[in-house]
Amino acid sequence: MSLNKIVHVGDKFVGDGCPCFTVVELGVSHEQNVDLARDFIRQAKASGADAVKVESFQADDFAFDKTLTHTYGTADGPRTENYYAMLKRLELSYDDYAKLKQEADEQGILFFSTVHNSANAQVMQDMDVCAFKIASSDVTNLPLIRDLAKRGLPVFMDTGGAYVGEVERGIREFEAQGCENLILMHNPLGYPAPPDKTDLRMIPSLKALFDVPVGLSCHTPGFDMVVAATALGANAMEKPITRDRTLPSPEHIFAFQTEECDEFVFKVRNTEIALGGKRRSSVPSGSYARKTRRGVYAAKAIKAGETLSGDNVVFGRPLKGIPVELADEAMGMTLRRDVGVHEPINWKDLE
Amino acid sequence: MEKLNIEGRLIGPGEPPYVIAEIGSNHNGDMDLARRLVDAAVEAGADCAKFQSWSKRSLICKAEYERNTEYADTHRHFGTLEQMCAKYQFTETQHREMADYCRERGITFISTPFSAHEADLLEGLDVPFFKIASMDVPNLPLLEHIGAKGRPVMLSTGMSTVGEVERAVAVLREAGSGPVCVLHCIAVYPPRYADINLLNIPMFQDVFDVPVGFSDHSRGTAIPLASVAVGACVVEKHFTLDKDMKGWDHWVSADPADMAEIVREGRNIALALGGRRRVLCADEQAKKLAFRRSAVAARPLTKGAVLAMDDLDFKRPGTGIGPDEAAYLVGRTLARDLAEDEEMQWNDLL
Repeated sequence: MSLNKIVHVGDKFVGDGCPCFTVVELGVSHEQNVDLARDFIRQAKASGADAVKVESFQADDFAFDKTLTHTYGTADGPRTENYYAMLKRLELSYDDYAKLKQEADEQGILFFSTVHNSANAQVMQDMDVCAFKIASSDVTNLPLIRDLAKRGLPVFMDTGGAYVGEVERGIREFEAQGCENLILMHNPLGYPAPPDKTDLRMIPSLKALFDVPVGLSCHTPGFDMVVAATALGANAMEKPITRDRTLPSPEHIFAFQTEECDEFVFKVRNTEIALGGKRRSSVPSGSYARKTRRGVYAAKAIKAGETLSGDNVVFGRPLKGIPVELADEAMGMTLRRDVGVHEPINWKDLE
Repeated sequence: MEKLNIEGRLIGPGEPPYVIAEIGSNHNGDMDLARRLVDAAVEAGADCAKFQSWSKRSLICKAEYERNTEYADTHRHFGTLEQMCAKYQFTETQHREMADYCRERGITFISTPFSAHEADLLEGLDVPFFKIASMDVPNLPLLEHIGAKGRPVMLSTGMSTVGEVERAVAVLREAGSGPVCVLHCIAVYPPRYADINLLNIPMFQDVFDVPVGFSDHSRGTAIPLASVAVGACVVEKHFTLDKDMKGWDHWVSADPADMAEIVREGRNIALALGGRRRVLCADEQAKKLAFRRSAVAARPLTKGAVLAMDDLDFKRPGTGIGPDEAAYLVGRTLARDLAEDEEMQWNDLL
């Protein structure tokens, strides 16, 4: 059993040689407002993103220590919240997610969810999501990995904070259970991730290690890392969307605002176009000959019988006579005819 | 990247290396020897027998013949340059003879043309690709003429700069050639090891996105085999029955044993390269059980003892509790007595 290098997600293909799969993450920036989330979905479709993703966690399923806190960056500085309370205020119900799936279907954009246990996965599968996602903290959740591997859908796996060995073990579990479609997501840790802990080179490293598509879950404010990761070969790009990035909530600081969604997709596509191929494509095709460089021109009026030298010759455009790279050969030769100022000089004018 | 397809055999990354036995002028003008060389190439497992299509008149100018009449090394040079070229040249009749013989013996017949006329002759003999010699990288008229024939081309690149190779490939393609393969080659017989730069092979492959091979002029088999290890898709080497034979190139050629080794070990190396992905084969999985270690009692231990780290030792086989699980043993209580060196199991613990 071996994992595919190109993974089919919905009607799209993800992997080297395919366009980078852009994902607008609705996750935890919907403010528990289904209409706002619908807006995000419509915007994602209008901007040409490939998919929208939701979180569908139900906090009571796993957040058992009610004293835990979570600290994250906001526009006004770091903020610490009770973890359980925070999750509860970022939750939507399964009914709400069904409405969002319906919106995505009506818009014609792919829809998938991060899932946290089998029941969660089942609900989302019944809603007909195109893929599952596993959060970074679940890279060691072998029971969850085994469950998802058997469901026949492609899986995106975040790898934030994981040793190579943990990712490797997760991959072996997927393979052992018959899953062939896995996409790893490099996930720099931090809310937001500081530059020196962003480690974008993990993207090509993960590809070298595991030969599967590798994307970026972007945790950096702005689009710099979106461009950099695309240039490094990221096969997928996920970033949260928000109404207002100054809101005091965990992922808003590194989200893009609704009106920036076009730019998010554009940054990826434009970088891909700019990367081009290895050989220069700016040489006019169909011809190796060159006319656009400089040639030998008379710097001043020169009479027949005079010899060419640095004093009476200048290199100008366009190339009409002797090309500049052959100028050395022409120096010291004698003109057969008078040449006017700024007239191109040809071999046949010399002896 | 476009692979070459030569009579059904694919040439490119991931394919077994395509081995060319370059007979060249090693037939010494004797077609019986030429046939024996073809036989030996077939037996060694080479994919292709290559000749050289030049004549005394088409390769070297008169003044050059006049300048080269005496040689110090008489083992390699039996007379004047002109006399040797007259003897070693490959005539049209000999071309047909050897093309037929190769077909009969089931090995691809190829020859390097050194003029448009010779290229046309080879086209008439239906060669499946054209080989171009290093010396002709700047021969733009010849490249255009050969490119227009629309067949795959293997271009040797000895003595050439990257720009000259770039230009040659562009000219071939613009003229309409089939897929192109570039052969890294140092046109020195033999070159110093530090001058060989085998790493040019993956470099050309990366930058030009074409299959890249290696035309070898070293002595022995190590360098052509190393070229396969860095990704050469083609290995070409001069071929002789006997390195001590009189003539130009026998001394830097592969003999039948060398050629057989290049073919056999080249295939093994290509297989051994495998992939980047770390995969444990079934044999290795099985080996863990015998080669790794398991926890044993370091001294006689009694039931009820609370285990300390120095109560444990780890020895083969690896069928029990591994040393990476020692943390789960220390502090546990033994459920039974253990003799010194006895293997410990999980159900020996309370």
